[in-house]
Amino acid sequence: MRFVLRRIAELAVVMFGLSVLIFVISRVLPGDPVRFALGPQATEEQIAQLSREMGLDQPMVVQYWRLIKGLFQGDLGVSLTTFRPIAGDLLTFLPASLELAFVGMALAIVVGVPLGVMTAVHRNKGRDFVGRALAFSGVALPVFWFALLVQMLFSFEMRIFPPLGRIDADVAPPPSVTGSFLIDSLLALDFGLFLHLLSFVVLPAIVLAASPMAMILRLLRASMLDEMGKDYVLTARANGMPRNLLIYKYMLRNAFSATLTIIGLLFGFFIGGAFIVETVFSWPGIGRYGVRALQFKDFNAIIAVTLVVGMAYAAANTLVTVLYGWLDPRLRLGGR
Amino acid sequence: MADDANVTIASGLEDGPVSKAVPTWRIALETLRKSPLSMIGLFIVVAVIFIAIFAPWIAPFPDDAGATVNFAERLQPPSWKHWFGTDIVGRDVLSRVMVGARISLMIAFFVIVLAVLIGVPIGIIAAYWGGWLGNVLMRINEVFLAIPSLVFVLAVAALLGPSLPVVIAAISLAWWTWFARLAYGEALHLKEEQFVEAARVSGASGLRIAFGEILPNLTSVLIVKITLDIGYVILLGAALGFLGLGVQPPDPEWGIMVAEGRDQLPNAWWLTTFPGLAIFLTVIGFNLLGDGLNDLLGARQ
Amino acid sequence: MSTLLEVEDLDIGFRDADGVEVTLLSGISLSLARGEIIALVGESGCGKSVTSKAVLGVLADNLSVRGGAIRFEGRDLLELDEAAYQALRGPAFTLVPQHPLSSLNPVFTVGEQFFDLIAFQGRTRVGAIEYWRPRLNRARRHAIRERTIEALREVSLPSPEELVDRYPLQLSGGQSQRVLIAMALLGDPKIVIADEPGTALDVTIEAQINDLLLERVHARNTSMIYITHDLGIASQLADRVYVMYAGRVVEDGPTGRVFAAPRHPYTAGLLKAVPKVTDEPFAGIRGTLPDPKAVDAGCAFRWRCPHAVDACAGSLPPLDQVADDGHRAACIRARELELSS
Repeated sequence: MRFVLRRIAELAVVMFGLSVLIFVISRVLPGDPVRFALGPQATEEQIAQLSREMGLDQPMVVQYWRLIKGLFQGDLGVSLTTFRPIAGDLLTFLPASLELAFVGMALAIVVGVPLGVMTAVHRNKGRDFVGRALAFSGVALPVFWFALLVQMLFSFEMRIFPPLGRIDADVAPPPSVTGSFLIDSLLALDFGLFLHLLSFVVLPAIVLAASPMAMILRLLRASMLDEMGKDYVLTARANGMPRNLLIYKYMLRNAFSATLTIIGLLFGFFIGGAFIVETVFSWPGIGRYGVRALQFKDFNAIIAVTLVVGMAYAAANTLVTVLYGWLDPRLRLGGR
Repeated sequence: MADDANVTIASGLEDGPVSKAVPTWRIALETLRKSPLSMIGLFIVVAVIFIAIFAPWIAPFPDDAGATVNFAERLQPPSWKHWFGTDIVGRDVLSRVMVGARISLMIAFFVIVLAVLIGVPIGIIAAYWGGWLGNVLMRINEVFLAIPSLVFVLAVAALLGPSLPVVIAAISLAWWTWFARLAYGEALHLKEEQFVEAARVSGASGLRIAFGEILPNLTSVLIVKITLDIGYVILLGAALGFLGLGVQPPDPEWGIMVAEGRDQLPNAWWLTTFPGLAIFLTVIGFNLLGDGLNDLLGARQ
Repeated sequence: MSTLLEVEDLDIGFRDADGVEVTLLSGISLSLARGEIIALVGESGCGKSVTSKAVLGVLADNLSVRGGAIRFEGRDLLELDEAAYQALRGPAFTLVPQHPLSSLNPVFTVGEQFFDLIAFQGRTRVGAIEYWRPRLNRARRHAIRERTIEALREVSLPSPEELVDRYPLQLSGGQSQRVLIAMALLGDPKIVIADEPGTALDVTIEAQINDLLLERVHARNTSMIYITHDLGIASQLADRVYVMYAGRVVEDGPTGRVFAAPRHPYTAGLLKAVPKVTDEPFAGIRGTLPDPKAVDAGCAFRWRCPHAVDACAGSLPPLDQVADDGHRAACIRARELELSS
């Protein structure tokens, strides 16, 4: 319990620092955001008025305070391109991003973990080399290029999957329960819709999952190989523990703990990757929203998205650390 | 060895015949040579660096790297004249890819240099002197690490207005944290080693120890990380270019070229394929080399 | 007494990164009868652990058996496939390992690890249904738990009902070692292989562990192969002793006889090196173990031997009988030397 509280305290400190950092960067960098937003044709009056509205003429501390206050109240400012409250926009697009992220994560784990174990158990044989080659490529692959290639091949050439979007424009989404179209369609027992939705999510999920899957495979392989040299493995083997129990229950559990340490990094890849994948596949998520904001120099939106993403990332990392502590009794009970 | 008082057999032979010792550089070369993958990596890296340096002289159509137009030859598929085909305004893709290597490597080089120069000293200082200063430094480090690199760099680049120096500055700002964390972790371990104690006891000043004793021991870890990171920085720079927030056209940066080719899909497939392939192969080269160095330097210890 | 285990001329080696053939064991022969305790004695690196791992069938992948046989109740184990071998682990032989604190999986409770062994020992693989069946069946679960508690009680562990639910890191070194002994005795093995149990523990705890082992082994009439570098322990526990050096057996025989009247200079040196509570100065054996890559013909010990002569370099001395009761030594001067211990 104390472990959890400490982690939460650390998280709070990091979040505070994060907000300061982003604020400082946004205000300190040269370039006038208002000019960016209004474009080169703006008059001095328009610039002055917008500056006042955005509170840019106030002293730094006041501006920071407004930002923090807004954060707690759920007000992230108004987008300079859509003129809608950013918080509302983010909430609209969040479920789609989460859905894509979950499918991608599931794919990465379901493919990466068994492959990682397999390459470790069958070390230096054919299967190992193929697996490692795959993993190696996955890490070196530029996400945007892979996305385009996949899109070109499977959507435009072979026409198996639709190239863009989350659902056909003339198809109605399922009644909203969880926010995830996939789950909601299953809940509504509309399997046709489910398959339809699946066809949209498959390609972006595969592209998103490629790098993380590769990382999981490599790390799990290394962790498993580490475990194989450990004393308890020798003892268990010598005393007649069945091999598949030893590998998949005892060794994997330990190896997994080590792998969890990079889950934080994986989240980072997922978030960064989402920006690119959502843009290429026009997936209506926060990533695409963020990229639009960046390309249009929507100052408020950029700040808001960066802040939200950063905090979510930090929170997720803390969650993982807590989970890690729960999984590994050594940390919980204050062992080595 | 506990010597008897009545040794009659020549001392030194008590251990029996021993296999001959081999000089370290020999071992290094043998180890690297034995790993064909590392050799491939080395070859790719050397080739890319060579191309980057000599691109303006070895590219078939060096002018195409800029803003020239040649509408007569636009959108030609790969041929003997244009190995990688031509783009929408008729520029030779191969030449652009070759010159693009310069941009990517330059970004990587400057970013790594900056990140190391900032991050490593901070990490060492935080680890060695610890205490209040160390805590603060590492907290700051964590804050920077709290934003995924791509998002952070995108935001900075967008806010500053994208260009080559901005890309370098933005990525460096994100990347120093990794080196600081690495240096911190390693220095923490090394701090407890005996040779540090010995140096301290013999009166060496803190700075001398930190940078004279601890730093040299970080070099092998740093070399491996630098080699691997070059690949990742190239990927990041290209992603920025792809989204339009990095190096700007008409510069033949690989990411931009992939983005420009996107509009021509699926017909002019060569526009996206070759620049992307260049990125892919370059990163693979650095990763292979980095892995090889990792095995090599790890084995030596 | 019938011979339970017979190791014949075992040769084990591997090929290193440069392609050089390295020999770890050469011509090792042992025999073990029902109810007998033998000790494998020697310095670190002499091959004692490798021998035991060979018997258990858990050699590292890069090691290969180049020759010889390991006969258990007549069957050559080296010809068995993995499934047959696995079936023997538990009822035929088990291991009490050296490092108690790292030989138990840290993320599972003691009870959980015993559960799987009790339910599935000796099987090659366990399917999903078979895995869950004893866990979902309350009676079976309870029976296994009782069996675990009983096993822990047998090794004199206090409050076994509580210990079952503890994690290995909550146990002391001595307690962990007892748990490991209990684990080894689970399948009621015919042979227990104890690989220097207790070396990692305090001397007093080590003595307790050895007493416990001895008592349990006698009570069940189990045979034991006890590996150690400590001659004192060997002399207390073992009926017969095998002295190993550089991958070979250099002397073997009844413990009392070998230690009272050693016939190989190495054994004599070892005995002399045991610190005694007298005024005598430390007496080591000068030099170190030879490099296993640089073996040549001739006795491997001659570099360190105070009694070596030119003939020692000529050929490998065979393990010859020096007395009637099975006492053998591998030294060409075995009969003539009067070695004091």
